[in-house]
Amino acid sequence: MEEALLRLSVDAKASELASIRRAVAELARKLGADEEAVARIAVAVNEACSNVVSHAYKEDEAGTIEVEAWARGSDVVFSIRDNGTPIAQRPVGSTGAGLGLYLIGSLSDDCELRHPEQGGTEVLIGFRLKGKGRLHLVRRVLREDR
Amino acid sequence: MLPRVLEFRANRAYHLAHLAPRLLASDASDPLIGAVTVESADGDNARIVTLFGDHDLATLAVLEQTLSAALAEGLALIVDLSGVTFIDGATASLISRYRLEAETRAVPLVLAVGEVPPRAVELVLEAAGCLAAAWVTKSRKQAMLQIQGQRS
Repeated sequence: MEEALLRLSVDAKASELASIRRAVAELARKLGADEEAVARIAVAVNEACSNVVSHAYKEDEAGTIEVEAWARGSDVVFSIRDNGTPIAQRPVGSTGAGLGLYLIGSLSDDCELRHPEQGGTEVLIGFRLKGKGRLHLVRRVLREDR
Repeated sequence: MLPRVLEFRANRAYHLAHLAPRLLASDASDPLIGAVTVESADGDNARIVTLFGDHDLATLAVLEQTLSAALAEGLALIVDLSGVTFIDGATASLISRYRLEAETRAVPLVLAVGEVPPRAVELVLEAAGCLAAAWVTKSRKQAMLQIQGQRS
């Protein structure tokens, strides 16, 4: 896999969300994304990170959010990873949870949910910055399509 | 001219942020941290809850306290988003929820989204059903006219 263009590891706290948004928006612009794409990326990544802040860890449990990004051509993939409660076990119906997942799915060009061997959850969100659709954007950028 | 700001106390500390959102940032390079203000309008017959800057999980609790206190007064309510720079799904869902709550209490609630909201704000409001609805206007002025029209 290519080296990550972005690598963040921050406390899973709401106060960190703005800085994550700023970092992903800055990377998107550097990769040539127009403002429409920057907006979609900021919203989708924020929703994935918000899900971690809200649900991945117990109240008295310190946890982190790891955000990484890779690009291939005009496609970019963001990974939002935690090592807390797997997403399938998180409570549903919480405030905005349904809308958050809808936003991730509708604003991205590809999206995958994975459960790393070491535990936790990884959400991979792919965006096409230029050109027409490609299947399996996430796997293509991560070079898992061979 | 700064609007007159009222402070609501509803059995808990009620946070009122300064009207200039950047004052809440630790330095000029920080993102706009969200602020919420409440003011009286229409001869004290309405309340305007104005949001500035970025609103996400970090500002959700304060916004909920603000909306709860404002709604409890039973007066017409305008939620003004024209100064927001970012809004997340949880915030949009909260506003929708309070809109429904206002409806059950027969309290008019109108959302003013601004003439040209930032694209990220538009995307979230659209997904939450808060963009093209009867209770949504572009400007505070239009929101006030709608409320006054409902009253007559």
